[in-house]
Parts: sequence; C-alpha cells; structure tokens
Amino acid sequence: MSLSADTLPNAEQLCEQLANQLQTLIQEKQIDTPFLVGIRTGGAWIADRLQQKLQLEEPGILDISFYRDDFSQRGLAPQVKGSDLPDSIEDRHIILVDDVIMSGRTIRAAMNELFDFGRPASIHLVTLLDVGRRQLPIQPDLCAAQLELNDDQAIKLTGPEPLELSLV
Amino acid sequence: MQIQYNPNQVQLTKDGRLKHFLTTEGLSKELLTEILDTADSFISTQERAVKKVPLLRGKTVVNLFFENSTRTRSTFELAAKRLSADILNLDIARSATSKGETLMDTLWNLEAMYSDMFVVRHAHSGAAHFIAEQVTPGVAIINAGDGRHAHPTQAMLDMLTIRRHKGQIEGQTVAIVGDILHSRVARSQIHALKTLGAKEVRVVGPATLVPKEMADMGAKVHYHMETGLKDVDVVIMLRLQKERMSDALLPSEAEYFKLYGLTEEKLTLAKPDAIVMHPGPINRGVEIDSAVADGNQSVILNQVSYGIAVRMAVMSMAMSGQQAEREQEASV
Amino acid sequence: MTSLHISNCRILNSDATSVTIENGVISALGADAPTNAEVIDGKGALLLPGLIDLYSKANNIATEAQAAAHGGISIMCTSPDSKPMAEAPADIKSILSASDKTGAAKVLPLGTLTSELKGEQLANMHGLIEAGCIALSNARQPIKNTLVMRRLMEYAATHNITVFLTPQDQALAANGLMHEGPTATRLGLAGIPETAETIALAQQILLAELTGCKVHISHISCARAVDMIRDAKQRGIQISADVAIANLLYTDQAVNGYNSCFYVEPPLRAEQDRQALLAGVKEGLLAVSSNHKAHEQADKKATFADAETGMSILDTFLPMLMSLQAEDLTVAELANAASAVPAAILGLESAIETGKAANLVLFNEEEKQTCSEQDFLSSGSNSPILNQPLQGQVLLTLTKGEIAYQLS
Repeated sequence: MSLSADTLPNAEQLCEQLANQLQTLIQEKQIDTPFLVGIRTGGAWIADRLQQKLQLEEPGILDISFYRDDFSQRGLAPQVKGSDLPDSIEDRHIILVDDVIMSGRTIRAAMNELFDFGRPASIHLVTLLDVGRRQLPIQPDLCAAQLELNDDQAIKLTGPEPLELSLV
Repeated sequence: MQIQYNPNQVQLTKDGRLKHFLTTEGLSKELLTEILDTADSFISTQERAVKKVPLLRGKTVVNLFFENSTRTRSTFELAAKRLSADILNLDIARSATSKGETLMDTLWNLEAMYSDMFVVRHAHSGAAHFIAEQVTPGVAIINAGDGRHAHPTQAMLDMLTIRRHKGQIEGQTVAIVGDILHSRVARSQIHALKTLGAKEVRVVGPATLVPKEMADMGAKVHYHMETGLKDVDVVIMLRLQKERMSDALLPSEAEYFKLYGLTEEKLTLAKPDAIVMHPGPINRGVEIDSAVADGNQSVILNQVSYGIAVRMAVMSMAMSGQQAEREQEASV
Repeated sequence: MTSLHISNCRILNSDATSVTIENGVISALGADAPTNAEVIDGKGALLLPGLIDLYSKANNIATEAQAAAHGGISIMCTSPDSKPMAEAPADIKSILSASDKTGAAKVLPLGTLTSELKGEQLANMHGLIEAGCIALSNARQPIKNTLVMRRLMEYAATHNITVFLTPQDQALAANGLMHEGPTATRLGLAGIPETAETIALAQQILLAELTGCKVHISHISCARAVDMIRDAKQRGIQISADVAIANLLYTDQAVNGYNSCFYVEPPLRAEQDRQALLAGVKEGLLAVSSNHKAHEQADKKATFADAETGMSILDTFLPMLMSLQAEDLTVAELANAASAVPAAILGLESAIETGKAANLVLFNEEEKQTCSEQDFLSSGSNSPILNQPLQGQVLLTLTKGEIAYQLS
C-alpha cells in the first residue's frame, strides 16, 4: 500500500496491523520460539508493542552505535546506552524490529552486531514503515506501510506512549 | 609582552571535539562527562562474549613507550584490539645521547608507515604535547603519561570508578595521598575532579612530597593524615617509589608507612562508606595495608577493569575527531 | 678615514639635530656638514649612544658581531664558553682579529676565571687581561666552593680585574628547568627556587666585601636579588649587576604549552620579580644585557627537558629594549641601562659628546618590522618574536665612527 506524505498514518494502528502480519508469518513459517530484538530507540518501542500483543518473551535491545559505517562523519553518539541481549542467541529465530527502513545501513549494522553475539538460526526483518531510498540490497519481510517522501523530508517516530509519526 | 595559552588549542577541533587526549586540564565538564558516558557503554561490550566492536577497524595504532610499563601498555593494546584496530608496540628506551632529533626522527619514520594514532608514554613533561604539535595532521595522540605532568586516561578511569561507586563526582570530598610532587596521576585527577564538581580535593603527604603550589590548582594541602582524611568520601593512595628514600625526600619506608600509610585504623577517619582507590601497582605495607587493599571498601580491582573501557572511549573519540577535522578541511 | 655626518636626527638628551664624526670621534654636534664628509640622512630618527652588551655567547664572531650591530650594539662582550674558549692569549687574539675582520660590533672578550671553566684552579688572569680581555667570567659554570671563590676574588683584586659571576647554587637548582612556582607545579617541570640565586648571591656579595674585588653579577632574575644589590651598593661594596632582557619582557607563564623558546638560564620568574627588575633598571641600578645564545632549529625542537637553553636576542635587542617604554620606562632610562651603565661597569665611556668615541645608533621608532628566519644575521633565529611584529628598526650602527650596520 502506498500512501503520500500528506496524510501520515496512525502509528498505533500500524503497530496493530504489523502485529497481525507477524502473527500470520510466525504461524505460516512455523517459527519456533521467535525472539524479538528491537533496534534503539524506535525499534525497541515497537518490539515492546509486538511482544505485548503476541505474548512473546521479553525482547532484546540492540544499540548499533558502535557498528555504524558513518563513525568518522558523525562520531560517537554521546547517548550510547549499549545493547541488551541474552548471553547467547545461538540457534534462535530472531525477529529484528525497526521503526523505519530507508538506506538499509542500520539493518546492515544490526545484523553485523547480532552475529558478534552468536549465530542465529534465522533473522526475519519487520519494520513499521518502508520509505524506499535503498542503498543496500536489504528488504523487510514485513512492513505495515510504504511511504514516499520528498527529498527534503524525513520521518520520525516519537514514543514510547503514545507512538506518533511526524515529518521532519 | 603577553603570551596567551590555552591547552585546548592543541587537543580540540574547532567545534570542541577531542582530537588528541593529552591532559584533563581545560576540558569542559560536558566533554569529560561524554568520555565517562562513552566508557560506560563500552563496559557493557566488555562483559559479553564477543568483546570486539568494529570502530577502529582498518586503523593502525602505535604504542610508543619511551618509558617502560607493561601494565599500561597492555591495557592500551587490549583497548585497541577490542576496537578492531591493528596495533604495533614500540619500546624505545631513551639513550643517554638521544635528544629531540631522535624523537623527531622516530616520528617521521613512523609517519612513513601511515599510522593513525600514537599512544605515547615519555619521561619528560610536555612530551605528548610536543609530539601532538609536530605530528602530521590526522594522527591522534593519546598521552599515556608524560613525566610528572599528566596521565589523563588514568584520571578518567578513576573518575569513572568514583561515579560508578558513589553515584556521581559532584559534592564528593576526595583525598589524594602520597608523592604528589612526582605524580602525573594526581595532577590529572585534580583537574578532572575540580571540573566535574568535586566539593573538595585534598592532597596529603610530607612537605617534601607535597608542593604548596598545589593550592593554585585548587587542592587543599595537608601534611597530616588526621586532618587530611577526616570525613572524606574517597581516598586515593599513590604509589611510593623506592628512589624517594635516596633523594633525601624521606627517611624510610617504615616512617612513611607509620605517618602516611593507609591502615584500617586511619581509614576510620574517613566516612564509613568511603571508597579506597589506588592507580597501582600497590606497594603493600608501604603506602597501603593489605587488609585495606583487600578490604570491602577497596575498589582497586574495579579500577583495572574500567581502564580498558576508558581507553576504548578516548581512542574512538579522538579518532573520530581527527577524521571529522580532515573532512571539514577537505570540504572547505 | 673620511668624515661622516649624520643630519636630520633627534639626539637623546640634546637639542642638536646632527652629528659630525672625524677619525672615529664625535667632532661636532648640531653643525653643518663639512664639505668632504659622507652625509647620511637621519630621516628624523632617534640617535642614541651605541649599545654595550655585557654578555652573549658567540660561537661564530662573523655572524654574531653582525647580528649585534643589527640590534643597535656597538660593543659586545662575548662569554668565555664561546668557541674558542677564551682561556689563552692565542684564543683572545683570534677573537679580536675575527672582530676586526668582521668590522661590525666591536668584540671585547670575557676571559675564563678558572682553568677550563672547571671552577677549581685559577686561570692566568693577568695574562688574559693583557691579551685584551675586558673582564673575566666563569660562564654559568659553578665555582667549586666558597674558598676558591674567595681566592679568585683576592687574586683578581690585586690586578684590579673585574670579575663577572653568575649567582646559582647548584644543589638547590638541582635539575630545575624553570622558576619554581605554580606554573612549574602545574606543568610538572622541576623548579629552580629563587633561593638558589639569592643564596649564591649573598656569598658573592659578602666575599666581594671581604676581598675588595670589583664584582659584576651577570643576570639576576628575582626581586630579592635586586634588593640585595641595592643594599650592597649602599654599603659601599664594589658590585654591579645586569638583567637579561628576556626577564624584563616575560615571566614563567610564557612556558605554558612547553614552548622551549622560553627555556632559558636564568629562568623567567614571576610577575613581581619582573616588576622589581624593571624598577631596578629605571633607577639606574641595573644594566640590561642580551644573554644571547643562538641555536639551530633542531636544538630547540625537542621536549622541554631535552631542548637547549637560550634565546637569540642580538638582532632585535634595541627594538625589544625600546618596547619597554610600555612598562613606564623612558627612552633615556632604557638607553642609559644599555649604554652608560654597562660602560661604567667595563670602565669605558659612553656619551654623545664632542671628543667621545663615535659609538652611535640611529633608530627609527615609527617603522614596524617582522623578523623572519632570513632576517636574522645571527646563526640562530631561536627568538620569541620570530615572525611577530616588532616596533622600530635600526637604521645605522656605528662603532668608533665605522659603519657596523646599515639598513639597505
């Protein structure tokens, strides 16, 4: 579904939608004990929503600050809080969650970091929004909405309560 | 004729980012706090199975130690490796005839190998500063200790220790005990403590080892433990080197321990929840009693573990500051 | 020698605006140019007595004498630890002949006080003076002990020889690199307490009193020393002292940043010391000297402790001296401190009067200049004002009527 940038969708509704899509995916693929991992900060909020709706275990959190590829331009973000994952994600089926996928670099960094923690059995990518403009060959398995933005526009998720989308 | 000097002219980029880490002097509270916060986040990476992060991948770090130190050198080496950097260790003993030219020649030779960062320890105060001024732009210099002047990474790991065990540095009363005269650690600690809002910093020791001018740096000078340790929140013991006895600075280790050694009894002068720190290596029975060093108020072993995280923090901050400066200049 | 006439100049302490020189001597002030004279247009510049520098290290007479003349100096005393060491008549002759050959500032060598400057055995003092030394010094090398100090003063006194001494107690100075004070403590550099100077000075003053030797103290650096010199003079002791110009311009704060340019002996001390030294100059108590020590760039490009000490001062001496007008000293007081006072110490004359030797300097106060490495005639440009603006420029320096330096 493509929407224009003039009418922003409701974030909470999109979460409901995403939760339903994920439920379907888990059943269809028979994913055994999926483990939600949210990317700070927006992805972590959404992972929490998904966890509540699908009654899954406590999600893990990924802070990708140390794995970004733009370290030299932007330096270290001073608000690095670190990742929070169990000691081993060996053989787990990861559901990687983020709010917006754009260039694909964040997901690339997240996957690199996940593999530093261990070797998952599988990773499925679930995002609330897809705004196109890919620079890497990475696509979400599920996304609640696709949007087209103008060159000078960017989209932002605020939260954790309530979750709201805004244009920047 | 006026000479203006600001230590930050050398260590910071135009927009106030760290590009060398030479001294804690003159750095803002915000920047020091950023170093501590960044170090905190590295601590969590050090606790997991895979300790490496790719921040300095492809970078070459050279340990340039003109003064021997296995401990400090290995923590820097470990920090660099955990940032995924390539590391080269160069132990260059200063020969009797060597002067600045050897230092300059050494630098030029190293630069020809395209290093990105030098971690420098040198017996002369001001050496790291000198190297930072002479080196090709783009190479970050981390001061691992220069003469008596500064040991900024040690001071920062000490700050991190205080923050983690006391909650914050603001409002704390800290006593630094021992050979302050020759201590680069003490000087760096005093600057950091004052900037981060410590309520009071005291330097304690015999008059031969505690210059009265420390007061100009903002520390209160004490020549007796009874007043120096009274009601402090943090006690930092400094190592006493054996050479001090032969330089007519002290009569004997025994008398030093009697007057300035930290025993369980002397520790009761401090607040009951005071923490005991020591940059190491400790001289048991000289500046500190085993009972205290191993006691439950001691956080000495924690200090060591924070050392790697703090060094990872300053190395990555300085490297990114250097690159940011390169890019800013290229785009002009 | 033809006669020389400098017209259109402002002569210090005189209403005359021209000076005529014949056979190296001032023949007239305020007269018209004689017909066969070489005329130099003073362009309204200031005419001062040629400066007399009491102490500089000159390893190469040719370059350093030219640098001195460039800095307004007509007569310069070279330290005995210059090359060659001024310890035998042959060395003195070689220095004097190099000076004549260069034809710039006139060199008056200081001979060694002790054999090889080791501070233990007396040098052939009389022989050195006969060979042409103006006085004797032990450079900055220590005298072994107070007994040796007494003996060399007694011996020198017999022959009316002026003894130049530097006040430094080696034990207290230890491995100090700068003034002991808050800056040294913060920078982690070993300090030299002012007591290292005053203790040695006290010994030197008391021994001068005991022996009746004429003593000149080279380079005092602290307020207490100024008081001690003043007090000693008042008690009638034959003592004099000079201050290196760097100690009038800078304090220990200049060392911040570990700038080895400010690594000097004696060290730069606190502001109150600088003020007391300025006062001493103002009252005519102290002479001002260059304490010049030229170095190659590489010798200064090192960590502070590894760098060589000293500044290259000769080329810019007069402009630096004149900049002290900002410290409430008049041109007359400054000129006095760098010409008349040193002249008295050396037993020479210095005055712009008919019949006196034509040692003169023409100084354009208005012109601003910036000295880069190439502008230094000295073999070293290790100067604190390298590449920085300087007020005033020397147009002409004369030594005994001969042109020692002329701005091209």
